[in-house]
Amino acid sequence: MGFPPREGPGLIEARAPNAPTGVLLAALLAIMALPVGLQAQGKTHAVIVVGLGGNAEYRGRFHDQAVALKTALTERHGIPEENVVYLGERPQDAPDVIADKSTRDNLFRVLGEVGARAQPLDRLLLVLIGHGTSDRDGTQFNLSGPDLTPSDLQTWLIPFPTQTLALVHTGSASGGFLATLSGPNRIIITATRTERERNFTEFPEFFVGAFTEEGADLDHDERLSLLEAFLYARQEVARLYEEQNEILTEHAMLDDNGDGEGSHDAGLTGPDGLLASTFQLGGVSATAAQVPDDPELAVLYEQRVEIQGRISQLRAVHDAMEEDTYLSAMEELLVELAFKAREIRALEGGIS
Amino acid sequence: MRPTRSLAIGSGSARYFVNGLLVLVLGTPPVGAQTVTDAMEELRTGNYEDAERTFRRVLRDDASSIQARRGLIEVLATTGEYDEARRVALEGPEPVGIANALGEVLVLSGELDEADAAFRRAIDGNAPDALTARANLAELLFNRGQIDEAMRRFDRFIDVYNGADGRLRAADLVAVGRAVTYLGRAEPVLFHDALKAFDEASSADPGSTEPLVRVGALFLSKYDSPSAQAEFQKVLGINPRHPAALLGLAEALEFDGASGAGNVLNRLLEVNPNHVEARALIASQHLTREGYAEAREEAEKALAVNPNALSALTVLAASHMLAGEEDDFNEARSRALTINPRYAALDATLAELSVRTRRYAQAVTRAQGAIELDSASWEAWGLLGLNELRVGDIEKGRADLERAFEGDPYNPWFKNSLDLLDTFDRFESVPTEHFELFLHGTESDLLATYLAPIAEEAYDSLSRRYGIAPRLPVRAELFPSHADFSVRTLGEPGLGALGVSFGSVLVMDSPGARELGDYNWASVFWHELAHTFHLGMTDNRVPRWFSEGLAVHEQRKARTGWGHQPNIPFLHALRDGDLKKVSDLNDGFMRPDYPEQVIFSYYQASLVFQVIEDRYGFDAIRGMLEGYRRGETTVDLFESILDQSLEQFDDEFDDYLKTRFSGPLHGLVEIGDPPGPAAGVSDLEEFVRGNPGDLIGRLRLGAILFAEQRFDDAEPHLDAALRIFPEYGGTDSPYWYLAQIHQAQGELERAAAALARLTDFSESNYRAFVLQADILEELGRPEEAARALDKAALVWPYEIDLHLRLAELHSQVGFFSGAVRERAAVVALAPTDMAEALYLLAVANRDAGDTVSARRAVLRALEVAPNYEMALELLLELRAGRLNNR
Repeated sequence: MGFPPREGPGLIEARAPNAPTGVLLAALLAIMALPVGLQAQGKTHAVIVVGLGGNAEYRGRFHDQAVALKTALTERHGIPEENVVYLGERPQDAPDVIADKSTRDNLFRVLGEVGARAQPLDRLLLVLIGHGTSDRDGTQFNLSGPDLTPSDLQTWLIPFPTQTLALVHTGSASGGFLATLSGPNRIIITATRTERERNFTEFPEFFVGAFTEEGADLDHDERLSLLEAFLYARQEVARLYEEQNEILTEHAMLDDNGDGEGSHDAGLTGPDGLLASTFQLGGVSATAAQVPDDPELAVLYEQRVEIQGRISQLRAVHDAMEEDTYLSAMEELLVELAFKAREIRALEGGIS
Repeated sequence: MRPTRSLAIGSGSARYFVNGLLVLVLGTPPVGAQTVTDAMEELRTGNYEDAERTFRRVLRDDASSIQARRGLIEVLATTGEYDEARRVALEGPEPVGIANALGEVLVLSGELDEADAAFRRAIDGNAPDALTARANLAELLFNRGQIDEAMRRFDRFIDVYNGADGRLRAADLVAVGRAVTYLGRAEPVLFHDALKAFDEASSADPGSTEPLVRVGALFLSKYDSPSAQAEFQKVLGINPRHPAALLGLAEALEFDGASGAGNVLNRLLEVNPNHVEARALIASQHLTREGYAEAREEAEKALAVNPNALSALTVLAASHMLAGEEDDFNEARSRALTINPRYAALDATLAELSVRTRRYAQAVTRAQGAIELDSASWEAWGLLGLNELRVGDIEKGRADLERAFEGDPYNPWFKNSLDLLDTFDRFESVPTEHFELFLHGTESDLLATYLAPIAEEAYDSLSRRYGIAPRLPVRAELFPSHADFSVRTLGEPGLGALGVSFGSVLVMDSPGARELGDYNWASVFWHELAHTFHLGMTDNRVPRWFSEGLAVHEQRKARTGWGHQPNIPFLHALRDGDLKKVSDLNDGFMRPDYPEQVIFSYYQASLVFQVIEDRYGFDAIRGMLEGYRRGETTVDLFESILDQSLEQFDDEFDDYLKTRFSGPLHGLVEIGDPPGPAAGVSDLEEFVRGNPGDLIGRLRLGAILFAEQRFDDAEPHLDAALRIFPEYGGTDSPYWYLAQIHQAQGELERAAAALARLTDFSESNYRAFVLQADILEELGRPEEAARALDKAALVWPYEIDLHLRLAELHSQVGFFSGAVRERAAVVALAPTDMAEALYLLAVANRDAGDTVSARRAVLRALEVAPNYEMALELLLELRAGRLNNR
């Protein structure tokens, strides 16, 4: 017995709104699987570059995203304002927030300046917002004057020999930047898998959203890692395309193991995602170092890390255990962690 | 292609060109024979009357002309004058030269032993057409069940071809092609050789139509209907009265499910009223629309011409089988098997017809029977596999389909189905009390949450009404791809349906397979499950119109607004007399006069059951279903149970429709010229002033004024439209516009009332449900708002925000189990912040008093985010509660 559609044959095939549950959950679980160690981290420097918009709509959109990002980095995530530089298409339109015009020369200069003052353990976050293009000569990020190429950046990042570098190219054809810039101690995030994905990208809206809105702190530790920002943006892009019933034309990639091969499904189980998970903003990392000055608090932090480590070990053997046994064991550890968190909050002046 | 037993084709075309020249030179007829050539041309182009006259004239002058006698026999056979053809053949002075033609006529009239002897005479006498006679004899043997002997004879054609070194005539090449076609059943690649042989025949004699017809038939046998039709059309371009081409075209149209085959067959019967295959095809058409008596009548006409016609006997047997006339069925089947004891096509056809009449278990039995007769019947293996899948025997079905596909790798249904089966490991089975829900892994958690309670509610309701239990568990498969649903149902994409019931197996589009607002999946599930009860109650004998109408009726009984509703196109059809009478309503589904008639028939049939239940009680409907099980007909049942003839009920129902819809019908009376599609407000206003009762005019004007935000001006027209047609719940319903007008004017109660009316007549208007919830929430009526959103989720369950809102509304009114369901739905939708979703699920579980589930959920949240403070605190709270309770 057949049941007809209400009107006509209606053979348009909608994509099933099948959120990639397994992939995201695995990535999130993997975040937890890494004990959050107390790492001494240096300062974070950020350079935001907005390229040519091409028309008023894009120009306005890119500028808004850059301003939102800059504001979030300084006001929500604790990066000192002097450490955040915004190079824009029209500095004259917003001289209070745009440091200079986004030309190839100015970017070269700014990176040189930041490199000169960066300490060995400092970190650089470079975010490109705008249109990317590709042709037979390679891939470029469109700027006023000569465009920016991956080799330009490769050369200009030489002043950062020891620092952790995070380059985020949020535009079309950005995948073409990944292989050239990949290297040790580098996190490369691109909005597209290859230089051939040339459609306008939705990625920057959500990548910036990860910094400006609630919901990207996926492990609820009050800090935002670049891995979380990437996962959040990737997921929301997929959801947007799904809602609009369109085929996904941009596949964001993350490479942080230096092999020049990006991962769309990045996470702590590798091959990419581990380094990005340690590039954290906000919370304790908002200060110069993650280790608190108070020795009593420092001990509690260490104890919390130790409990987290045991939780990770337990998770690692999850598949080999009976579910009830596993949950009971996990509950004991989490209760221990909960009490430790209360102690920390009490000492930090929060409500226990 | 096998190197030793295939056609060594490849050097041909130039040689044929030379052969053609030779024939032209050697075959140039003497002047006296010119008329034979003319007659042959008349025959070739379908001018049969002139051809017959010319051949007879030649034979009067020269009775020994074999060419003229064969031509005359062919004309007579083509036009169905088989007795006369036989007489002409037998009176000829040279029996050997005519023997093959005689044999062909004898086959057509069913004198098989005599045909066998005639073919052998032609072969033994080394007649000019001996090779054709060999193919005819082998084919005859094959069709009489001597398959091994036939295949040996066909196999020899490869040697004939390879030994001929390109010297075969067109007719001989056709014979080779026919033989190789049969060999293809064991070696599918040989079908390519058959095609080459026919193509070479065409090259050897470009004017001959037979190779083209054979190529068409070959394409059709390999499921390539467009290519087949192209070949048949080529022939009909030469000879528009060519019976074989007309038959082939009709078969191809039937294959496509296109209309028009009937007209083609009528043209064919005008040429040859004794065409047995045409009669059998017409009979088969009657069967598929469940017209068993008509089918039988047509089959008997064919058998009067040829009592040994297997195709006609097959349809005759099928008509008896489908009508439940077991003795007659067995007799007809025995007759067929006496002629051909290995006639697998009989049972395979019966299996196919069983499917068309929804008797899937019977299809399995018949396909098994076909395989017992001929284990190389790949069609039967495929039918077996496909129908095993339909009755839920998945693994056996897969195995048998694999076997079918090995034998017939061209079959797209086998391939599509196997490809789909390969994806089944991505699905999950969710058992409930009466169901096995088979859902795609990406949406199983979400859909099971909603589907399980609806399924059980539907089962309880329907089992109470019908008083039976179908075979359990009922397997319900929901596919997130419409193409996959279609393949699961038919073996091919393109099915214009949303769900199908095979009995205890239901398959449906999942909501994600459609556009938002396309359909209400819960309502469709109810519809399909109703079929399961109807099929179970009648042993699958319920006619399509009856079950479809009753299933829609059940939808409307289940929920206000569910099921088909009246709309303007339906009213137009009613006004114009374009609906079927109840007595013909099955044709509205099986042989609609126009595409929309199928949809109209669903609604119309549902009203039939509304009338019957209202006036005669539901017991009458149950009684009719029981009657179908006993093999009674619709005509019998209306008389015995409703105490009136079907024709009387036609009148009663017609009166009902006209009374029920008198208002909107009056509003659809066309008076004057309605304004064109580009008409503006002033044109429409002028028209409405002159025709204040015109429904369409009022609707159009109201909609345009609404679009211009002239709400005060729009409202009276929309109100007027509703007075004319208060049941109209389409997407452009006046209720929809009025609701928005009232909302804009701050009259929320009126807006809510308009939306309530709208959703009483529409099951899938997602926007209306959400707007209704917005307004009700604003009015401080959270429970009703939640009910509206619950309905929206039955249209499109994939919106996280909808579930978040529902969870909050349910919590607000203390409906905690509802909140749990919604929080679980959010988790199933894989939100970006999974930890928070799990935490909120844990909170909802806690609020609902389910601390066990709450513990599990919060532990899952903390697995994702171990430093999640609120979750850690909830864990401590749950633990403390547990400890306190010890």
